[in-house]
Amino acid sequence: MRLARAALGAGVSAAILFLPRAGMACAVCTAGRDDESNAAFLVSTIFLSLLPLVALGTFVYVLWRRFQKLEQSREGSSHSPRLSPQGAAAAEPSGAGS
Amino acid sequence: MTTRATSPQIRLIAAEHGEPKVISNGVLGMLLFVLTEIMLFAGMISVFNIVRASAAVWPPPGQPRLPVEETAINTLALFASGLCVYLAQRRFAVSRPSARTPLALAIVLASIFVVFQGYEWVSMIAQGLTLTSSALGSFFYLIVGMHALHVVAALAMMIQTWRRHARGWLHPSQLATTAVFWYFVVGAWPIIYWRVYL
Repeated sequence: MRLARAALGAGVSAAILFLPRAGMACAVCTAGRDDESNAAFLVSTIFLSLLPLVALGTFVYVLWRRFQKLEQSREGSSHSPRLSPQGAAAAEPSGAGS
Repeated sequence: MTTRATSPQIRLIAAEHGEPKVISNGVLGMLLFVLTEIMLFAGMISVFNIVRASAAVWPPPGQPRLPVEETAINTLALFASGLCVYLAQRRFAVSRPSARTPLALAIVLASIFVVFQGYEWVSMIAQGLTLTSSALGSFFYLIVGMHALHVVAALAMMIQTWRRHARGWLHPSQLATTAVFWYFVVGAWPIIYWRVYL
């Protein structure tokens, strides 16, 4: 009887000691693959940090390139009599600018 | 937005008659939308990568193998569809009526992609891969499903574009807007295929 009580006490003690740890274990336990998991977190962090910068940078660059091309074509066409500086200034709408 | 005091002015968007413009309103809006979509897919794929790298066994035991070869063929159909949209844009700039055939072909190829994806899903569900069967199933249906949703939306846009073209109402910027979205859908798929299927 005393032995049974001791065994029960040991079992309860062990449960108090170890079960909370198991119960609080991470739901996405890496099961010994900490290195791979850490690498995945690191790569994902770098990727997600840089992606918006690269995407926005590309977007702005494309707009800038198109803007430059239009400027060049405008300057090229300004040599024609219709779009000469005087003619262009005369044709400028007074309120345009937005 | 203006750059110089002298005209002709170059505007970022909303050009008025005779003024050059950098980008049309529709294309600008679609590009901004695509930027947000890129972040959406990047987030989902990143989480999938982390879960995959952290799993003790991948793919999860007892789950069916994803149809890699069959989907590769389907991927070719999607690529060909993107190429057809590109050809349609090129032809539209030269001769508007000649864009009709590549646009129709792009719609047919995109439809083939969607139908095959549906067939693949039915097959996967029958084999036991469901949204709740494993992490693989959850991410497969989430990521591939989200992409399929975009394909269906882009397909609807292409059909609308084709109808407008058939009636002679299609403006180049409308075709360009649809093309931007379709290029995004086509461009995102190889990355999804690489990360999820392989």
